[in-house]
Amino acid sequence: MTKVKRSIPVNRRIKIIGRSPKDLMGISDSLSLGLNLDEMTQLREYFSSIGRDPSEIELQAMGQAWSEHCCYKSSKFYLKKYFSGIKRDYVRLAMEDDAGVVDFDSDHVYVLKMESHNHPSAVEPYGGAATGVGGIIRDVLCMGAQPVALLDSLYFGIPGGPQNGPLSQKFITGRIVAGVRDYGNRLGIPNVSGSVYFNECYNHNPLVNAGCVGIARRDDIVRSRISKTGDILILAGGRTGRDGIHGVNFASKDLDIQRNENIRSVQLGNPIIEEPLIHAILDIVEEKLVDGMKDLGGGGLSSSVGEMCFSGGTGAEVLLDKVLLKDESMEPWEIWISESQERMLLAVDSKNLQRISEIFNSWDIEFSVIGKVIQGQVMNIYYKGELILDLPLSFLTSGPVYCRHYTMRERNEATVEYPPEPSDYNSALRDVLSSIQVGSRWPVVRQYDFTVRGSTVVKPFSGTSTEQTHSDATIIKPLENSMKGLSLTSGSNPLLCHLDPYAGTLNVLCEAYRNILATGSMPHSIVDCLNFGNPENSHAMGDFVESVEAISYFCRKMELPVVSGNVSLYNDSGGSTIFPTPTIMMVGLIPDVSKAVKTPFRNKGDSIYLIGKDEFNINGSVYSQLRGVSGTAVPIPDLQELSEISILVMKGAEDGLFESLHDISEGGFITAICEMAFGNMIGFSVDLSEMKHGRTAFKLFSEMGNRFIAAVRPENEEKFTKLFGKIARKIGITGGKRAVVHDLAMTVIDLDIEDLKMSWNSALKDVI
Amino acid sequence: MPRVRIEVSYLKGVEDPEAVTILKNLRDLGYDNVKEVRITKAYDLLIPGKNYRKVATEIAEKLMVNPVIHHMELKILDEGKKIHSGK
Repeated sequence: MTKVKRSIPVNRRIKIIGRSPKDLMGISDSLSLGLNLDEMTQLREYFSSIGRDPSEIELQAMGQAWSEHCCYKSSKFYLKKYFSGIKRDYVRLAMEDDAGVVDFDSDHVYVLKMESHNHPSAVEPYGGAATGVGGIIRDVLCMGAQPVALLDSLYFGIPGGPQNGPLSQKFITGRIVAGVRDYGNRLGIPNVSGSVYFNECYNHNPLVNAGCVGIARRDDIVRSRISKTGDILILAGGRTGRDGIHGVNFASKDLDIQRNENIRSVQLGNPIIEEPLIHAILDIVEEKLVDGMKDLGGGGLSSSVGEMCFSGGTGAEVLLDKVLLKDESMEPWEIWISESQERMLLAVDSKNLQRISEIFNSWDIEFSVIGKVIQGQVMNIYYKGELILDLPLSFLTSGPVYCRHYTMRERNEATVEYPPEPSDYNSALRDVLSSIQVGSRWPVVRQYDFTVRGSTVVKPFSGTSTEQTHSDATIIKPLENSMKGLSLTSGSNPLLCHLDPYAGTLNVLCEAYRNILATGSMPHSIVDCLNFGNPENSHAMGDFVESVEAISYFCRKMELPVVSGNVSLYNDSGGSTIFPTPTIMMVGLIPDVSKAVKTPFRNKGDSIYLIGKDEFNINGSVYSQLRGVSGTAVPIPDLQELSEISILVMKGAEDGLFESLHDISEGGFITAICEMAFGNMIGFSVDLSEMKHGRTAFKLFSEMGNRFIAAVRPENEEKFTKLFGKIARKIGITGGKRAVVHDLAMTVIDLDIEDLKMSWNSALKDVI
Repeated sequence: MPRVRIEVSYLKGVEDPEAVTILKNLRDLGYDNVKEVRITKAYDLLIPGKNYRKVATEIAEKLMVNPVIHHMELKILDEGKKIHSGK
């Protein structure tokens, strides 16, 4: 039996040794630990083996550490299986610390991360979304990087759909957008890219996936670990309060919005504290005063101190009385697991304390020294002179790993009966453009400040100041003295992933890849944010495994590293589960931002080319949703072709051959070309006879394949056709004010661009 | 025509960042004796017709209030009378 060195006061112990399974579950429920019987039994066995009962704070710490949110107990096995071994030499840190770190140039790195904040946003949309943004910024900041751009992928229920508990869909949508907007705008970090998606599966489970990119000097990177014994631990920023207690347990089970316990999990976020905190931390990093740093997120101090010491091979001694509190009546266990926002944990040499306190004081940031780093992997917590937690870190932070049972989808390849061709392609086009899936995202995006910091070169919308269209990816120029840029995109296609999680996820990855390419940038790194249902359901687990398999396959084939990620499970409530929703955030590099290619047509008389082979499959397309068709087969994209196209597109962009370039995705060919027309209100005339044989509706609305539409000046055509060869086919010309489409000598579409733009602009008018 | 006031405040225990910032600034200005700041938002609506109570409640519940964090009160301004209150 292990001997206890010091003793936890007897009156603080909770008796679990020798208790029955029923009693154990009673303890887990009454303390809101969120642990199941197996886990409670493991705890009982452990405490029996050391010959004493645990204190309340010890049980609470275990509840945090072993939650799905903190230890990834359902996903870890599969993430390890599929993601280990995808490495590139330009990646400095992948899947290790709070964010990924990747080489930008010889002196600088970029830091990136995306995380979900789904459960908090379902209960309190504004606060949940805002703190999602605040948290992701701190994840990048704690690596020592200046945050330079935000991304957000949002998934909402259907406008006018059923109430989610007491909240209307309009309230949820509006307040989530407002939360994302207010936090980012108040900090002065541009929100440059993302996606907005609607489906009834999100009526009760809205998803908020927030991403952040930062830039740092390579030698300024700070690790989220402490390996130096004797360092002191500083907690800085916001005070610790009762807000956000048990947030991780709440995120690790199916959501019941009506329960009163949710109020304790709600955090509203305070950007006015985070803004000066960023400045102070960056000053401290620049003066190299810090040895290790981590932000406080899910699990609060409990998970930050524990993980930081465990990965550095050290232990910690913490004096809870030293933590600055919002409310002096807080219990020690509440202090330890509170998820109050805007807090950072720093491990520093005590000789730097004087200078650090000068910096914090100059930015008006409160802080306190809460403990020190000790030898041996153990966590000791004192409160009012008493030892109240004494656990080895290997036990506290490792957590169980479940190799959960999963069921793969059965593929039903049966052909479905497609409806007859529409009698009027003009109105079919208007329906697609004005649908909530395809229509202009301007009512959401215009709320975000996407130009603050002055480094946004390609904005989320491009074109003239009055007439703009969606950009494929956004480009920022993070360094003043370098023309090198980062291009950013994020999004998913949940319906395709619902039809086929494997092929769907591959298509999501290909679209992100095409979005980056379409700006003349080369894809460089990936972050995934995987939102799925209840992992105890073998079908949901099967979807998750297939999706992870697809990411792994894509990354190996395309030689792209996954540098960080996030898993959100248990997105089930109101009797429904979400579609598998793997959000892919992709970052590309462009050597010279002045050569960035944009979406809109720029001149009359340019030749229009279609790049990539045609793939006519309308399953899961916006067109088939509108027509009520539900075929399930989703084609596997041709990665070899994508790879070949990427080389040609990069060469073409470097040689300045493209006037405009846009990839084909949701809404199909016709949507893509209309979006190109909307930027500068320049019309087009194209002939679909050049596409492979097929129905006109398929030619117009199929979303599959690795296809791009390019506009090329006549004087560049010779070079262009020489470069692309048979991969590109000329299909028409820009000019006029109309959208004109012929197929086999028949005019199928002839509409005023103004009219189409009005349809496109109207899509979200009742949503936000 | 009845003027209806919808008052929305945070429930006790929910931290209001705006109020916290104001309190901090008051301290910086030397008002150390101020112990607490609470903010209530008031929306005044002019609603013709008999249904004004129902309409105002519906508007508040649909667009302004999340009962998880908010307390809401409805007042008829002309009469100064409280007609409905709830979480």
